[in-house]
Amino acid sequence: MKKKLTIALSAFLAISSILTAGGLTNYFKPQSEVQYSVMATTTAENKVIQQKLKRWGYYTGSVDGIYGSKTREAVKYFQRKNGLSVDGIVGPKTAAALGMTLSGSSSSSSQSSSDLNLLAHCVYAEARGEPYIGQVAVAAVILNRVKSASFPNTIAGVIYQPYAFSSVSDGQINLTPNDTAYKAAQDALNGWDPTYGCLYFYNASTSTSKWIYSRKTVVTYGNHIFAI
Amino acid sequence: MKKDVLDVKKDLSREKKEVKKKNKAVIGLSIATGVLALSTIGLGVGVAISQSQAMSYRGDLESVYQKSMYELVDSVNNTETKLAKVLSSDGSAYQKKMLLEVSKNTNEAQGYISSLPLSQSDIQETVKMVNQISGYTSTLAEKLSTGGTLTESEMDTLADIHQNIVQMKQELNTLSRKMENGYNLMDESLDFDGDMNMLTQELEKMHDVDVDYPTMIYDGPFSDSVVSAQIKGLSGANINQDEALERINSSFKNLSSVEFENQTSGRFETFNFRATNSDDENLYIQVTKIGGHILTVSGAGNSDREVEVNYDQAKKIALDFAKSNGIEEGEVVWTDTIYDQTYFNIAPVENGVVIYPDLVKVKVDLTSGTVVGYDGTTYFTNHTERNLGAVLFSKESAQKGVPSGFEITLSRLALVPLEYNREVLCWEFECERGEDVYYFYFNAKTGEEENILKVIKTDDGSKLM
Repeated sequence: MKKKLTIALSAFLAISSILTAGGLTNYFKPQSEVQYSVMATTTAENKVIQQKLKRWGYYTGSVDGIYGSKTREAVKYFQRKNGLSVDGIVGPKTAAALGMTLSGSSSSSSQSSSDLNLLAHCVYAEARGEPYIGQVAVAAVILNRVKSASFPNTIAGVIYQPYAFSSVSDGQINLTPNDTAYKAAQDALNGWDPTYGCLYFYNASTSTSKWIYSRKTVVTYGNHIFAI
Repeated sequence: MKKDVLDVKKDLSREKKEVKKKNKAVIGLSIATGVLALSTIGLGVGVAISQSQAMSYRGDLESVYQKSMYELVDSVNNTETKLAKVLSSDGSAYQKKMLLEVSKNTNEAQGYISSLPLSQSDIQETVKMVNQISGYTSTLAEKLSTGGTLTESEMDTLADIHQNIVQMKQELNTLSRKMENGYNLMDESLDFDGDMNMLTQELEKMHDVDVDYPTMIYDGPFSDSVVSAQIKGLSGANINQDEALERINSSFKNLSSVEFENQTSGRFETFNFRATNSDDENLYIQVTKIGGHILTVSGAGNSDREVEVNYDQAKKIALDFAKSNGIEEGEVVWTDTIYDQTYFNIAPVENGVVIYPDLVKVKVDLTSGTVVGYDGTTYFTNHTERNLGAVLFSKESAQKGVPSGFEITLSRLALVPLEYNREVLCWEFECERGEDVYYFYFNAKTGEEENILKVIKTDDGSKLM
């Protein structure tokens, strides 16, 4: 009886220690490996992909042109059923099986919408769950910083400035944004600024910075206070 | 005797059994110990691996920070030297060359400062100064290139700037020497005293509150003069919250509920309302306290439905909405459809001239055919009675400025906003070359080419550059 206990105990210890070690190793792995989505196709192409998959019963989401997790799952399902390598990415072979050709790199005049994507990522990470106008406002603050002399002069510079956004430090910036975040980012890029030039926003219930309270408050949207 | 033998046999077998039992226990225990030892080693190895990984990540990050710091030191050293040369030179060609380099060096310096782990709020004034120096020096260089000279007060400002840069240079070079002796930027940045980390503290003189930054007013980016644009277009008496609500109800006929949310006290003072329309779309509407004008409407629309409105119908909806908000005659000057929503940028047309500075933006949901977005802030900021003056340069002569190979598809008079609050009456030519679309602008008074815009196609629509 005793030995069984001992063996069980040591086995438990062994397994748990291996798990812990694995856990520790994982902790230091960048999260982006898992969560970063590959944007290999354009919005227009994504819509075609979604329409086709929907018609054939692989996809149940909305036809919005956003290559989100639902679309990726549907593509994987399609690939599995059609004997293609299952990676969730529409490459030339999967495209051919879908009966479409990709524009790919042939259209040299098209640029990636990295500004929009980056902005949407930040909006989603910082303000998902906030009212829509609050999400537009967060995107507007980032763009106001780009214009301001006191901050970096590019969207990437502002978002990745050390200590600027907590979602960058904790990796939430790599979550895949939803429709609403993309729309809010697009609205702000089109010039919508519901904060009228604010450079700061903070959550009054979680903010630990005393300095931020010295800024003049302009408006509150949801849980965020916007200040200049 | 027999009994004795039996007893002995019994004893022997009992002993054997006991020995076996003992043996089993020993084996069991040693297996357990072995497994335990292995698992401990496993844990140790796991921790060692993750620690060495963490160390190597830390090392990588420290290298990135150190690179930025050394590059920052370089660019500030270069800025200092070149500013000193500008101050001791009389030749405007040489001054221009040096000023352009200062502008480039300070622009780089800004990038490096912003990628270092410095406490944001403490470093802002420094970033601002560096950005302003970059804008100021490039504006002065432009002035020199058009035949101007530097005035005494401009030279004084440059001397002030030089003083600030010298101080910055001293701070940074001290830190650079420390880095050579093992100062670790990352460790210091993780050591906080309140909001400020030790690395920021180390560069204290660079962002000291007592530092007197020169005021730089110039026609360029980040100038102190363009920070707050005045609101020219708001007219009418002050209204109260109830009147604001009436204004909303007269402008939107399809609202199922409207509720007061809060007020804004920024550049525009507004009453803010949350509304739902009959298509179950949530809207956020802001009404100005002065005059009770609808300032903005924001909504995400509803993306789970089929598109039911075509482009022409949506355009009419947008123009009608602009009209009900004061744009008697509007022209759609830019449009883009993203997902199931179309953006319309509408400029007022006055006496045949397209007034670009007074642009309003309307977003129409193509599933419901309702306005889910409106931005009148640009209009209310810029709109005013204008005297455009006479056209001194004919369309035919302006057209000669369009290079050959471009096919002109549209030409008209337009008031164009240029940088730094300048408005210029221009001849506008929309042109095509191959698949590319360009816009050319020629000053209608001088014939000078003011701007060229190129339509850039992106994955999500087009934009002007």
